[in-house]
Amino acid sequence: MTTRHTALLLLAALLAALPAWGKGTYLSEAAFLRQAFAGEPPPPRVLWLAGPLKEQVRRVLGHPYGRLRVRYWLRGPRSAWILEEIGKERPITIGFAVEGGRIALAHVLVFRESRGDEIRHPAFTRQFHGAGLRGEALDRPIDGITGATLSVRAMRRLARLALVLDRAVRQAPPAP
Amino acid sequence: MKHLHRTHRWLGLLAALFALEMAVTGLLLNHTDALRLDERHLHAPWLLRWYGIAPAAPGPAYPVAGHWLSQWGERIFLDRRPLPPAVRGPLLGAVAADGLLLALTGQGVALLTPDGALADVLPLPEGACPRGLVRDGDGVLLLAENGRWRLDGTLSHWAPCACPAGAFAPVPPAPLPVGLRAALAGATTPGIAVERLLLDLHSGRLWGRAGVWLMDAAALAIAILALTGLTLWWRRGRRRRRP
Repeated sequence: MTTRHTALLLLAALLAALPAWGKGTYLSEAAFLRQAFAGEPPPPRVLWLAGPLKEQVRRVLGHPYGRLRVRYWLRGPRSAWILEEIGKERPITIGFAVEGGRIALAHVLVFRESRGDEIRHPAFTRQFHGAGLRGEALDRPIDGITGATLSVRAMRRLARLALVLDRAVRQAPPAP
Repeated sequence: MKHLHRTHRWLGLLAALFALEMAVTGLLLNHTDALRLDERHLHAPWLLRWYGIAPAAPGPAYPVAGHWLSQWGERIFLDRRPLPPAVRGPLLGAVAADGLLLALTGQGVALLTPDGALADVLPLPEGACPRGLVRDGDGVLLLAENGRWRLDGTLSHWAPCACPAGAFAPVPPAPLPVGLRAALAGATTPGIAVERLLLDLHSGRLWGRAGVWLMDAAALAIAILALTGLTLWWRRGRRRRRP
């Protein structure tokens, strides 16, 4: 086998492995919460998605949330949410910190799809910082990424959901 | 001219069957979404054998609050209902608490309502190598190779437990009732999507590599048939126009 053949084989193997590169856990839940709450996260609380809130969540996502309840963390003006939404076929786990009705931090924690992982890069996630709600929509445009359209849409929906849920717990704070 | 006519006739006869098969399968495949061909599955034993598909292997099963949680392949079932894809094996234990069923898997603890709706998936404590779950009074304990953790009253977070290592043993798996086992064995065998079968028929892949070559030959025959047909038509037209 010539050097050229070996190089071609290596290139083919590399290209075959490319679609799987994006998958992975980029930040653990604990590490995200430490970031969101300057090292010391409060204990989690539970928000059951029932009644009008369940309907509102369905409107935001375009389908019911995959779970009956959401765990969240709340201290003072800041809340943190770890949410999941399917991009194309597999759920993407994204953490949001919300303060004063605006996104303060957004991180992709686990990406399970084979394409579209570009949404985890800070250059993209920074666009969400400072975003709030106008009605049930984001109050600013979020630029898309070519080849990651479905992942971008999933992250936009989850950002809206985090803001809606933050607003819900502040209007009627449940017992810790 | 006579030779071309004979070739055209024999090729037409040979290719007719394949052309019909390709036309019918192609027509159906063009309407996969409308006919929901990707959602319809076939479970005929001879077809599954042809595709080399074996039934899912049964895993451990746990009785909990009048229900059964069991693992088949990677999937987990509550009685006869499959749980959402977010809850996958290995199934390591199950207990009931606060009207919910808790299923311990390698990824976390799934909180389920008795009718199989997923309330939440609670991640495991960082670094825990889980062995099983056990009830301790009103609470739930996670037994791991490297420690024990107690679940709080809201079933939302773990706290390390100082209880002695030998004081608790995880709830062991139990044999599934015969009727449920038989029903799940049938239900967990993956079927062949009609779309897949049609694609394989269309391309000839159903019959292996020889089938693909055969369909290639049929496609070439149809192309030649079209060319010989056109040639014959053109020549006949020219002959008629001659004085």
